[in-house]
Amino acid sequence: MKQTCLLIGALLIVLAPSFAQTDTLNQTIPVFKKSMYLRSTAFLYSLNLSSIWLSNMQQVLKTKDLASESRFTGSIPFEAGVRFQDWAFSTNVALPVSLGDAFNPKMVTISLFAEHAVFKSRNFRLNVGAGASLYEYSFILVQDEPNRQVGFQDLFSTSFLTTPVISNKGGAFDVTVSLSNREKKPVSVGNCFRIGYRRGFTKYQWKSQSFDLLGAPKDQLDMVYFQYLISLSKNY
Amino acid sequence: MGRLVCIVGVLLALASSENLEKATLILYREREFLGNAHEIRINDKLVASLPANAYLEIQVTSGKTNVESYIYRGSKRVFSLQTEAGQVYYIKAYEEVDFWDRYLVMQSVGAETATKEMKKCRKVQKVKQPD
Repeated sequence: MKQTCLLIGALLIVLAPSFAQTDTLNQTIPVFKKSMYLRSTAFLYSLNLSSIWLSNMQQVLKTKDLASESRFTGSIPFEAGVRFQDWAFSTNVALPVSLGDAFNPKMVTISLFAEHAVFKSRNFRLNVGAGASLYEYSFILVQDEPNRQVGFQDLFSTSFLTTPVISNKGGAFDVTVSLSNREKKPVSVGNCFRIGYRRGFTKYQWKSQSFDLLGAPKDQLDMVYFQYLISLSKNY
Repeated sequence: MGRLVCIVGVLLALASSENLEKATLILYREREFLGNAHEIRINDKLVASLPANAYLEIQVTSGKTNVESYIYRGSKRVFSLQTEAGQVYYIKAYEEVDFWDRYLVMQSVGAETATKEMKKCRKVQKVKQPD
């Protein structure tokens, strides 16, 4: 389902301009008034790619020769927000998608952002922002055993080389820079590119949902992310 | 010697009469943040590519003139005007961009405004005159 959404999104981006071909002879020139659309509400659908550093756990996995691929995650964030003049406030929920990684790392976040336009041109707005997030990063270690044979009757009573879900959960702050289209119609669709850095407030202990995990390392989140967003806004 | 002067005189007269039949179009764009270059066609003939912060000087035969702009993954726009020989016409263009489209908006402006706004624009040298 998520792959289908991604595919439809990508197709829309590629095909959209071809629907807009027009040949207009002396059409009335649209005059862009700077005072227009100062307030707007927006809903954003997007794709998020992240690189994550949780160094202590990654070091443990590295010493066991298990970790090299747990750093990159993908997610589809949904965002709703309001803009008033040069300030925009939004809330963002990012749901993970699998990038086909053996560790199946997942990052789920709920964030609040405040962004301010520091530069505006006729077509673009450059924003800087700050925010706060709740995050949960989790993964499962699965080691394949291609030569092992297991009877179906024994399937649910056999142990496998697989860990329960291990997660690191906490709060973080965000700093972002984004470039977005300016709204020119009462209902606008626009592009937005956002680069962000997220850092945990403090070090949080790794936990397992299945049992009390003793002696687990603590980690402070370091994360860099890139988002491409498509916004649909109603402007007043 | 007298014959040579006569020939030169005739040639000059022909050249100047040709210029008198022509009108001059000056199409310019001011500085734009992340502005793309657009192809410019005059009466269906490709003359040049116009980036932001630049201007084109084009000689056209007087009469109805269509100035057309186009960019890949954008839409075509046509601005038409009636030109008279010996006159100079200033056309200001700027790029509009949104999710669905990108195109040049063109409008006629007065000589005084244009001269002021074109001060920092560079002249596009690669111009293929339409006629």
